[in-house]
Amino acid sequence: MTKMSIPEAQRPRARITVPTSLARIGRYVLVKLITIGIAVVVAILLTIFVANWGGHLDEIKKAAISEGVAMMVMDNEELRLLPREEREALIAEMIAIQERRMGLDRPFIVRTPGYLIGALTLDLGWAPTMTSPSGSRLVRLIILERLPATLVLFGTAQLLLFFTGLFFALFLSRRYGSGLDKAIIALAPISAAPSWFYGIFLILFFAILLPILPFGGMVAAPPPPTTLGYALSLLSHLVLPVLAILVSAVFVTIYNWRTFFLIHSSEDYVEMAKAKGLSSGAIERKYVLRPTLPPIITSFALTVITMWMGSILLEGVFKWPGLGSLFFEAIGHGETPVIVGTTIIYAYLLAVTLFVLDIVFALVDPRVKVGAESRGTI
Amino acid sequence: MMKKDTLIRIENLRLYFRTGGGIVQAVDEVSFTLSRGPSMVIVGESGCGKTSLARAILRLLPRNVHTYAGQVSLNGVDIMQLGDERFRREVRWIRIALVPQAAMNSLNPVIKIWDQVAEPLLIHRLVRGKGEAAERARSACELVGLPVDFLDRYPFELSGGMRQRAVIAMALVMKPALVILDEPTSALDVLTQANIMNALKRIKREVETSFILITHDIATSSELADEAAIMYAGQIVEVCDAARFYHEPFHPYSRKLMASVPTLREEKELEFIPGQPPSLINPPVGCRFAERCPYRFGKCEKEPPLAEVGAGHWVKCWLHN
Amino acid sequence: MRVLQSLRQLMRYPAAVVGLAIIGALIVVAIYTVITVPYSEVIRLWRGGGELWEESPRTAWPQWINLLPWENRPTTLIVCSTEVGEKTVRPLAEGISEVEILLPFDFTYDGFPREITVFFTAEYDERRPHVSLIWLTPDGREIRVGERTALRAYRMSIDGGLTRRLGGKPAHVGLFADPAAEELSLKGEYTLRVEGLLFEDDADLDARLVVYGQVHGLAGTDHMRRDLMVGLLWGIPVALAFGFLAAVGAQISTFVLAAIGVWHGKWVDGVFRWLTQVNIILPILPLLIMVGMFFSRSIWVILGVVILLNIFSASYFVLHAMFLQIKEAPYIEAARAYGAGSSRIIFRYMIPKVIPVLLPQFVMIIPTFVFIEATVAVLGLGDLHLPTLGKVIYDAHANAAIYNGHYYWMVQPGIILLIMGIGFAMVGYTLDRVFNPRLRQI
Repeated sequence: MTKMSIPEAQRPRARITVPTSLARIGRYVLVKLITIGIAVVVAILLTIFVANWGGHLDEIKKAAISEGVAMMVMDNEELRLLPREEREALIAEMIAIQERRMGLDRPFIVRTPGYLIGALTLDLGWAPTMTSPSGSRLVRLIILERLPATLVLFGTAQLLLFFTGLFFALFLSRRYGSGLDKAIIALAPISAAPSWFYGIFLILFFAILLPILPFGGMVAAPPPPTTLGYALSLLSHLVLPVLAILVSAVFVTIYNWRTFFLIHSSEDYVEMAKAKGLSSGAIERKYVLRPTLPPIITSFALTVITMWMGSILLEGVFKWPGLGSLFFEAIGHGETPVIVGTTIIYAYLLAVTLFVLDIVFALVDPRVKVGAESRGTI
Repeated sequence: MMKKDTLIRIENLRLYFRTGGGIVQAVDEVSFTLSRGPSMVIVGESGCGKTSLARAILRLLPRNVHTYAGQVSLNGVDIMQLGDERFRREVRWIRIALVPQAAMNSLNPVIKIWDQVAEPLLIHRLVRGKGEAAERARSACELVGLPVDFLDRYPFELSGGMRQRAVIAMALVMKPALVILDEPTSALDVLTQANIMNALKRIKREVETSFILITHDIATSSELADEAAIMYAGQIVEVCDAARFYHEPFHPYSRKLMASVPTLREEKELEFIPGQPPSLINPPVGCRFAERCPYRFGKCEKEPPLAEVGAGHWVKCWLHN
Repeated sequence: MRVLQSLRQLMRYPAAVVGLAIIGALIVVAIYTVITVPYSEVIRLWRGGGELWEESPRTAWPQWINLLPWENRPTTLIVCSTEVGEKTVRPLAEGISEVEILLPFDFTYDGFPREITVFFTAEYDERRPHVSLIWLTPDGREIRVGERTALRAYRMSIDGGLTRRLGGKPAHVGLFADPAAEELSLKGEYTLRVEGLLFEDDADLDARLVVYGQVHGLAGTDHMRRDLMVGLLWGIPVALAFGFLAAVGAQISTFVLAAIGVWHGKWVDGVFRWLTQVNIILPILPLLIMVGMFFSRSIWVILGVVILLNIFSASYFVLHAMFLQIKEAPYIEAARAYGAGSSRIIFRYMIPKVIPVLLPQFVMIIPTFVFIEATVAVLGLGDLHLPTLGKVIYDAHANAAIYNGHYYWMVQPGIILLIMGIGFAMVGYTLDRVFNPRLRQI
């Protein structure tokens, strides 16, 4: 029997062949980007349709026009000095001209692409009454200035949820049938209620009946001058809302992921790893955790989406100065531009979250690197 | 190369499981010896406890184990006495390796082939660094006939036969003293089966590792085995060398088995064994084959011992005792 | 039958038993409520206003709080001259009569009532009767309350003159205060004496004294004096119906879509998958809110939109995989080969395969929809006429219930929602454990 000689070029390399894998991941990312991008466009289109059902988008445009014209007239030295009726007649005429120019007298379908492009470029109009913290009435600014608060809250909560869930799920998968395991199974139905629901009860218990934590807001008012003081105040205000999110999501997450781990630990290759003499820690990491990560990422993606939807009322309940409570206030004021604009931003947020998770999925599921058919997270 | 020193001696090995229906006595007082050099095949029907025997030797116990006892001497050392941690470090894979049934599922789907083949080397720290590990992985793959460019792939990119070879390479990479192969070819198509068997024959010639081949496929096992052990209802009923087994076994069960297998050069009418093997939960008292045995007589109500009737030939039957 | 066998298996889990008990109890309550308080009635009651709730106190705690040993809060006491109390009429001059009405009651509680109001029912042609009110305390004091025309309602508690006369204390405190210890109420028998003057022959006067308690009813009252039991009880069938109908609508549509996707192959399936991804990205709640704000807040519209937005839900993938398994299963082919008809194949082979996947999902998704409706209501966009649990929470939140100590207002509907959600979730999770084949391997 001839022994096979292996030429130099065919020696197996210990590392992933960087160029081709990267190219494949790149292509996957691009496909996902396009898909999610189109999905966002459709979502925005739908938003536009619903919003303009009562002609509200047109109202926004008209409000913007009259605002612009009025401002322009006031800025103009000569025009400002005109007698009142003349000035108002002039303004009305200019508004009419503008409206015709903007095509507000044309059917809605024709104007939709304009609205769409506006939404995509975040040109979201002006708010009639609300203002941003920095005083601007541009809806875009109003929304974007509130975004960081939301990101702080939800970023923290999602990270905590992911790692706590992962840790405990792995922990429990080793203790099948134990008391703790049964406890988690019993607690899983708690996820039936959304986060804002538990938020109300948490405020009741920990901020009112037992006043140890603040019941609303992001930092104490006035904010502490020192960085440390600010950080501590922020932390103490974060506790209850993050806890509300965790309570409504963590038990079912641990339950589901522990089930994944259990199913995957009964796979043959886990037994094989044991036969090979791997320590239980190594088995858990390489043979249980790693192969299970793809379905875990998918499950997490759906959890995150649910969390985002609960954020509106959660921030409202805790008066957390982010997107959610902005939405809440806008509903109270009937402030259409802000409502529509925030909806669009939420669509973006959701899309970005899914996209990030898709990338993580690509890193974790080797089928993507190899170019085999992989659906990705969703 | 027939050396006479003993590689592994198994005495009264027992492995019972707890199940909803009762206690399954999968491995019941199994004893046999394998010398360094020759390969042994353990033949038996499905459900006779062969796979459990493999697991028992490697101490791969399931959650519902009830009894695990006996003596397993490897090169004179009773490995049953070793603690779990020592067993993991000193026996598993280093001395005894396993190629399990349906080996294609035994590969971690998210880790590359070479990583899994070289893994035991790195874990047991037998090499200095990844380079040397990759080297040895490569040579193990050469040995089994796996083209080396498959090493850089993931399991799902390989065919069933390739994966089987990869698992065999994985077992051999540490050059263990003993490799147990549990039904290495039953999940494959006939052509791949032939290829794998050829590879195994070649490997047997080239390396010093001894093999225990567990199978229900009498035909293919004949190519590889030097010695044979026949298992029935959790017990070893005959141990002899391969030539005798395939032509003139003593135990009635062995005879019936051989009579049911077609041979190439003889014209024979195939026989079958009526009835079914007994349940391993509450097995019958006395000889477990008695119910189906055409030669049974009164003494069979008492369980016969596994007695030596010739050089290296053991039979568990009153007819030969 | 297979159904009974699965049911028995289900019953082995205590969680399932508890969950089913909860759901059963809720359904019973719902049916009872809908029968005893029909739809038109509840709309009328909930709209409130007028004389509907005028005998209830505002934001009163539920009466069960008096079960606590240290709590002895006053309940609402109503004394009516037509039933209890004494009325004597004494004619004076031509046409003029004097009527004396005594309205006694026992006050044995700690604390003070919320309000005191006297309602007069007067019969007359032109001139209203005139009344003079005297308050008799248990310790024998007589407090002159005032003289006035017998209008329909005399709200003593907001009578500024009376308050001044009582030393700055409103009537419901001042008339009950113990002179020895002014922060405590005096217990005993009180009487309101109404001395009325009737100016016509056929005139008549009746009085009804309402001493509003601090507790009222089984669930307390809200800011519009409505008995919360109406809202809470009716909220249950609304929530159950909404959750159930939404779940049915959403699941059936996804089911049909998955079937179509499998039947027509890759291209159609690809489109559906992509549409599902779009659906997942759609921010459902904001869209619902926009519909509620710009279009209609009717609960049927909300239901419709919720179903529409859930047609391409994530369960498409699960259902598709299941259908694919069914379609390619060899036993289906075998059944067709031996001549089994379509309906036999569907009912004996496919449905038993489908139910284990569909049923747990269906049960588990009901609470999600219940809470979507509640969320919309809590945001203030709920149905305008119907009392729902979310509506009650909205009212509570809008009236700062937690910060004002009216915890019951927020907690009671919350607990009902929670119990409902947990009940369904318990059953759903156990169904999943019973039916999911992979879980049984462990």
